[in-house]
Amino acid sequence: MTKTQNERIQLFAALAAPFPEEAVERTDGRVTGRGYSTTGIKYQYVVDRLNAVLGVGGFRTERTITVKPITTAKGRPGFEAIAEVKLELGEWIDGRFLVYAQAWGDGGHVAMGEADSRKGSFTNAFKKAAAFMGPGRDAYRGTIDDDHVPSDDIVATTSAAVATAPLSRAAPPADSVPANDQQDDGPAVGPPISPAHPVRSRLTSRQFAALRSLSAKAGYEPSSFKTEMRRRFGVEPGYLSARDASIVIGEMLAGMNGHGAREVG
Amino acid sequence: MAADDGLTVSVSQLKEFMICPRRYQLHRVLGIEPAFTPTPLALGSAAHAGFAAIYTSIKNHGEATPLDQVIQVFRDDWAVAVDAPVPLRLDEDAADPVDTGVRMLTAFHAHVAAAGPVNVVAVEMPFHGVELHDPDTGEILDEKLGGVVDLVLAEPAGITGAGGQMRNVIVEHKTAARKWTSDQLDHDFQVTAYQIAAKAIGLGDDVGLRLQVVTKTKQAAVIVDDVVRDELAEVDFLRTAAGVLRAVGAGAFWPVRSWACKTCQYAHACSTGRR
Repeated sequence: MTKTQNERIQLFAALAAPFPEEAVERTDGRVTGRGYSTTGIKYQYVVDRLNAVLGVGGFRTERTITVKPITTAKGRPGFEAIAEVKLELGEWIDGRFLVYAQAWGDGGHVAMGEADSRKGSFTNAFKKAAAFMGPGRDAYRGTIDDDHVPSDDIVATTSAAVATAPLSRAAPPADSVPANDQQDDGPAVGPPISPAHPVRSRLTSRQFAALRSLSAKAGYEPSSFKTEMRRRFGVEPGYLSARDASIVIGEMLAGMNGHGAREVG
Repeated sequence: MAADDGLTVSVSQLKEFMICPRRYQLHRVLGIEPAFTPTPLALGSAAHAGFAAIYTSIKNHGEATPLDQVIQVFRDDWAVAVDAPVPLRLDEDAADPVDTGVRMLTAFHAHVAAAGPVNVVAVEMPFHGVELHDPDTGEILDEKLGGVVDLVLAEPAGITGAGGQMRNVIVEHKTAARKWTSDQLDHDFQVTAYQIAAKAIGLGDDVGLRLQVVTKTKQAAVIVDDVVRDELAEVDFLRTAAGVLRAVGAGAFWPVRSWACKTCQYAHACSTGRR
């Protein structure tokens, strides 16, 4: 199963489309006790993106996880898990998964329970592997849009008094171990900078180009595609939100890959 | 330059947003059908078809199309506007628009004949994919500038044209109720945008800019103004484009209430609570 260069570019554009603000998770190193802050995309949003763009069954993972018991500096028992995850994009044909793209990711996680440490290490490694294909790449580039920073964060981190500003919740001891893995590690980041411009919700130029190309391939006349987008989203194609554009691109790619209906809608 | 499949912005889009962001939203974003086509818009479009016919003939045949043919081009274009699904809104107090158009084209045809030979490079020349940036941050904007230049002439560079140097002159045609004011000539950013585009599409770094304004007065007149746009004007345009595009990107479309609301093509949809 091969893809043309153009198809790969369009696939990447759909996979790498910006995530909504609610998909972004941040941890404060002073709260988690890890000593560094992180910004990342929530695991389920990455999974949803893969499903939306590739269709259910359009990817698979293989994992190798090693776990070892540890004792924290304060003498508490815990587990450290290290996962190696292989993420493959492809298609199931006659019971065989034909791969056209593959990436590896490593991740680790420490938790008080072994299951939580395994789970956390997997999601971390999975997100790293997925970033190779586009979803969540901004987190690892450190370029998650500043618009995602909650307004309170902007005020706090751009203030000269940030270093002494009280936290909204009490920081646990520096060597404490998170009780579960809901706060997965993302890449370490510095303080966000003040946004230079207001939130952009409009689709990107690349998304628009992908929409035009894919809709033409799907057999749409420009006028009928406009009508369809207005029916579904109430706006002209050039003014879709980045999120809606990502959904439509994913649907059309899925339709062309045989994962779903050919029609958008 | 090849057509760009990505997001494009035109000068008319920027101007429409600056007149009224809500109007821009109704027209461009929501795709609302206008209730009518204003007569000046249709008249200007039909007159432009006549102007283009004259210069296309000069480019292809070395001489202007005869006046009767130019007027026929105008009438044909006007007929399309009259028969269009969106109705024309005629101003009962104004002169017959066809008579006005014929007067304008007659004056323009005479002006071209009197001006002598010209070297036509292009007529109705489209351009796409011109990169814009925010002059304050350096950020490359996602939308690329596109548009259509009415006319490009090649003329001797400098006052005397000494040395045989030629340069391109971008000519924009305007139809107007009266002569443009000096403020309009100084600040209209369409020619500024085209000066920026000219560099990107290979027309040269030192293009001339000319406005040929044809008035709709009883004695139609053609007023030719050569204008200059300096670096500050280009920065102004880029700052304007960046600001408008940021507002559009963020979905900021506020209404501007004014006398113009009474004649707005989208007034029927403006106050109905649509988002």
